[in-house]
Amino acid sequence: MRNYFSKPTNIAPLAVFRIFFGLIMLVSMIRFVANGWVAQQYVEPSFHFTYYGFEWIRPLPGMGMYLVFGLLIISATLVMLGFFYRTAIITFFLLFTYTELIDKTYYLNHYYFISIVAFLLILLPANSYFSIDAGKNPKKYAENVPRWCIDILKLQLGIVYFYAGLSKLNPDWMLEAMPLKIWLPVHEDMFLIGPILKQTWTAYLFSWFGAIYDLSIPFFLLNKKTRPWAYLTVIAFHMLTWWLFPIGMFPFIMIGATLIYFPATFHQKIINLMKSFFRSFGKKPEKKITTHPKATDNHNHLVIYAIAIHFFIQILLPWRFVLYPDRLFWTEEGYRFSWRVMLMEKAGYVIFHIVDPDTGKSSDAFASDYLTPNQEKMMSTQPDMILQFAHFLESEYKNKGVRDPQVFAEAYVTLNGKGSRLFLDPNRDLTKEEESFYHKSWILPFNQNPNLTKR
Amino acid sequence: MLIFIFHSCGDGEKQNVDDFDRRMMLQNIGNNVILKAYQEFSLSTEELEQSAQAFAGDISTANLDALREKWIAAKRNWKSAEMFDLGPVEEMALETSIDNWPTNTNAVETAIENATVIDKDYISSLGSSSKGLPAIEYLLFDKEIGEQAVLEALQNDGKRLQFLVALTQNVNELAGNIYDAWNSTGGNYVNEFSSSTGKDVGSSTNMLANQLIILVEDIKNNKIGIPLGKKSMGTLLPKNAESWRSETSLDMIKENLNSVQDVFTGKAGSGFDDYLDVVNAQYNGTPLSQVINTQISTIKSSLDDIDLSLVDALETENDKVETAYTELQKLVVYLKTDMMSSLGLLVTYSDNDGD
Repeated sequence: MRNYFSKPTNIAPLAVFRIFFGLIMLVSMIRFVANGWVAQQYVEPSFHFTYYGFEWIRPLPGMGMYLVFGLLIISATLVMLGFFYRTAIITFFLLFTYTELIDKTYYLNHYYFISIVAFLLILLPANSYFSIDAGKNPKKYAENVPRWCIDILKLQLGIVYFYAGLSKLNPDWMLEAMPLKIWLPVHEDMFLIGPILKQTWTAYLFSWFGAIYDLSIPFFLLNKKTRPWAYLTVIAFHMLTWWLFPIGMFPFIMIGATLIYFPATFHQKIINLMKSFFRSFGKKPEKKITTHPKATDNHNHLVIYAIAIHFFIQILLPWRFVLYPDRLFWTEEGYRFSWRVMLMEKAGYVIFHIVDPDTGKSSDAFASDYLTPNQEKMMSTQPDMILQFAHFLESEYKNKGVRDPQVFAEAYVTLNGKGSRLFLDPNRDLTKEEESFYHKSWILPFNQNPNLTKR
Repeated sequence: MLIFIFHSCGDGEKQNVDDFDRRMMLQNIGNNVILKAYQEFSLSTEELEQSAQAFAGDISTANLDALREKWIAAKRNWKSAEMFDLGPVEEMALETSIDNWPTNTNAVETAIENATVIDKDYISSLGSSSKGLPAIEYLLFDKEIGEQAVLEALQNDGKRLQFLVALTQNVNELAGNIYDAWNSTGGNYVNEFSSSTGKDVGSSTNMLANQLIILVEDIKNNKIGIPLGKKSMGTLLPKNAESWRSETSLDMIKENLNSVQDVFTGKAGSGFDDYLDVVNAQYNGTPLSQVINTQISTIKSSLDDIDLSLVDALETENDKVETAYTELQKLVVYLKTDMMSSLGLLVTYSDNDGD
């Protein structure tokens, strides 16, 4: 074990990983601002769905959020260049994670992945090669790193794929080709493949292929013989999903990140290519200094413990759903942070009834009066968000002069094409319920009497 | 994990192949529902303007009655077109210019008082809360002071009368513009509408389905819910009803629902109900199209059950209004969850990343 942690390997893959990560983040952040999402997601909404335990995280007022994204753009650039690297990657990690923690409406698995990678990159000497830092300061220069520095990125990617594959092994996905059966025909007028997409067998083929791909691709990428073919599959798979679904930058992140599986010689070629490209612009080549490979020192022991804890959590966290009763897709208890990607077609509608127990009078609250369409859509199918909004309504009605308002949620949800049905116990006063890691007993079972209605 | 796979088999073999011809549906709805609605609206605003001119030339109770009838007809025709806030209508924000209610009576009075030249250009320069059909209604109807007082106010104030005529000219002009923008001999938006056959966020099918939902929610929340006290702890707010001055609130809602039904069924042609049947959408073993059609009929009959005008019914037939509200809520659920989900459409108005 000790041997493994001090075993050196060529640093080139890590340097290339850093450059691609910085570049894709730079593009992502610019795209985010250009699409007007800073205003739409952080400035305009008056209410935000905070994460349990992170209720203190608020968006910055005024132009503050634009400043955050400005800093994200700068830090992504610096990461790419390997300039003031440590400061840049720490800044990027903190600010990016901050923006994600503001509102769970916008939770995406690939945002979570970005936070994780940024965190791991803080711990890695990714600026020791082919970077401005290393060019300026020979002390920072290194041609080798301990092997684990590269292996942990492979492991992290492997976890993402493998768990994404595991989560597809459910009856809806495998036996009914849901929700692809609903989603694929959307593109029936697509050039060439359109007519194929509306066939039922295509949905099955895609479902099964997707599951097998996710479960096996890390292993095919690890194996030298299968690697080139596996990588071609990675490109084809992610470009297809990019074409079919509105998943933003995710495909490019994965196509860039999986390069890490290739050997150092391959990455050295990329670096040489980039070097000759920059040289043609008249830039001086990097000074050639040979140093000893950096072995583990005392400082790195702490890092290794941090990484061990991280992966322990990574491997266990997606399994937490087994601790909750009923269908995961229905309750969504233990759903996030588990690499469950594009698994369900779920839609809902919630009416909130507010009762003043002093007078017996009641009101309805229409979520659209307080939330953006996107927030309302996301809330309508997720019990923890409905609870948060119910508590928000409680304080709203207290402000309106109701001493002790009761809030009841009449929610209807349809999951993977199964008819809409009552989602929550409509007679449970949600102001009396608190968020916790326990099962929410006021979520009605999925297989309820379909004729059950309010009261 | 494998146990999961073999654990349960769904509801047997369902064929969800989407072989539906959306172009045919859009052509049908575009020509036979939307274009027709705008044509009828345009014709009725023309009559409204003529009637206003006639009234201005000869102020009499008989002419006021005739003018009121024309206003009701125009407003009803607008209710059949209200859903279609698409394309040129949305781009030019015409809906608010035509029908932004409640009208701001102070703004209307100020606009009359401050006017020097009163013509349709002057009206165009005004904000939407002091013009359009609701402003005309304010000048023609008043449930509280009665017809005679309305007549005298117009008789004694030349500017008020001119303003009324100019309002009708303005609405008529807008109505004509919309019809031209849609008509194949004009802007031909009907063609663009039926050619956008995709299902993505900006496609006609997706936008139309969203407009359908927005209207039904608007009826439930704003046209019935708010007057019924749904947002005011049960305190009735009759003057928050649409067109309460003319006591035609329920007629307007019924027209809205007719257009909901027309778009859903496609009248004699292809509509969303056919689409749902093609993808075999079910609701507890019944075709979803049938469930939705039945629900629309249920709402209509619950509204027909109300004998009085909405303003009066809030007090005396409260339970009947409450029933209509509940039935509307069911329709929102069917449309917003079951229909959208079954058709793979998005309940959204903006582009966002997902995963």
